[in-house]
Amino acid sequence: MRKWSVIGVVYVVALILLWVYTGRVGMENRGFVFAGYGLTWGALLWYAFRLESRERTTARAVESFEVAGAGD
Amino acid sequence: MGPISAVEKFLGILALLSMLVGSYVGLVVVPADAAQGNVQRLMYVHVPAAWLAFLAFFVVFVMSVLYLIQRDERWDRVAASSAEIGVVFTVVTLLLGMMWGKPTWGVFWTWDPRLTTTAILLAIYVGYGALRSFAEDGEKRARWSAIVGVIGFANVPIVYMSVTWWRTLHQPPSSPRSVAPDILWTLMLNLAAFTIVYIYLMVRRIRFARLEGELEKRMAYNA
Amino acid sequence: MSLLYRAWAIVWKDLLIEARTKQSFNAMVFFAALVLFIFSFALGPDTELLQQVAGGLLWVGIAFTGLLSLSRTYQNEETSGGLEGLRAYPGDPRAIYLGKLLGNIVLLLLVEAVLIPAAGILFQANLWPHALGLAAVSVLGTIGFSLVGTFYSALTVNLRAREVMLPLLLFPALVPVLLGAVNATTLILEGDLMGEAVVWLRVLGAFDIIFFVICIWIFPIALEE
Repeated sequence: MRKWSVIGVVYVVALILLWVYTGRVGMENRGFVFAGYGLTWGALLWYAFRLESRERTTARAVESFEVAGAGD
Repeated sequence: MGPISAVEKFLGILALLSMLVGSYVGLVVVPADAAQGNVQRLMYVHVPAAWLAFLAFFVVFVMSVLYLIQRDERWDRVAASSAEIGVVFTVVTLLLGMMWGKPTWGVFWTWDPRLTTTAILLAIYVGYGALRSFAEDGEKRARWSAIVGVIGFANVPIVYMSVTWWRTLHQPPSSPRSVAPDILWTLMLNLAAFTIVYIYLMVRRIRFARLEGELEKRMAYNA
Repeated sequence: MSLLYRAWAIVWKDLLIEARTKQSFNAMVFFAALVLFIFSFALGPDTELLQQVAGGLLWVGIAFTGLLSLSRTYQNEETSGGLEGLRAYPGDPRAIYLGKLLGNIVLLLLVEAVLIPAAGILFQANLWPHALGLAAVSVLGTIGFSLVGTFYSALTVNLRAREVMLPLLLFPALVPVLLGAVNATTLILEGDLMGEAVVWLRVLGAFDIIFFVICIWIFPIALEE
């Protein structure tokens, strides 16, 4: 879980850097470019995070059945 | 099922790194487009997302056909995984399309054939997911979603043609611009990155599908 | 040809029940008229606007009305013992699909025979000069709608929340039919100076043929226990 906290922080830092960068180079429509790239990364990272959470939860559930149902 | 293998971990890191390189090149390295300016950089994420969305749904189609023929639940797991990931890529595609559309066309949405077809594709696969969530029996769920997967995808070319006719019967077709090499290889780079991301997510998602299947079996056994 | 014979038996049975009870037909006509009325109120009294969108409104009305009858496609069997009876029907299950399909087409066409003139009156459009074109669109569009509708109706009949699942699955699949029907209707009503309506009729025709083949091919799998 700590891994995802780190990733989250890195993501936010990267967003800030991107925003600063687009401002520095005077990028026109920087809001849209920023939003576009930010959304893409955000969506993919969020999905990967959710996938891992679901995996963990289900793996635990499977194990609990293994213990309970043994010897049937 | 065991812990994540070294291959999976490697794939994940590769996916992350390639995406970083792709985004960096797309945002910083490659020069802005002469005609559209910096907004054109969105193309480097929008186009790969769209291609991967379609690839994902094509995989759903192939896996659905395979399942209907062989009734092997492995095909069903791959189909379901690809559909879910496809939905993510499709939503990203549509959102990016809007981010690109507003500054270039002035509006968030147009009834452009590709955007419209993508929206309909999203509707089809959200329906696919809803169908799966309402079907309790594993075999029925696999069979019904395979049918929807086949029909849904078969419909896509027809939908695309219809919408294209709808939009162009009164409009002249736009002339394709030749693509500068810089733009092309940045696009290819990002396409490769997105593909690695798709493969990695698929590997993880299929593993999760196997776990879910295992859980279902054990719950049924213990019920 | 026993397939056709059995399909005909199903159509005949369903239409006979319908003719005696008129449960679906009356409800559909009333609902369709209501939809058209509400659209007219919502869009206001501007006749020109109504005439411009008449094609679209008509087909939205037909689509919603058709949806109403689709969910009842298998209801005759359901109330008297479920799809089990239908599955136990001897021979090729495709006969069931054909029979239900024809029943739905006939019913919807009958409703449209009332609805389209009613739309003509409500939207103050003179329909008679375009009768042939409108009939062609009507038939091709209704076939397309019923093809996919009858199929998905069988798929969702045993599903929880099927009232939601049927439209959710159906309408994305029907986009080509709606586009084709609405555009052809609108063009025909406008006089179609450049003969563009034919393109849309071809789209409808292609859709009908393609999906007839696909649906009738896959139907036995949909009906499986």
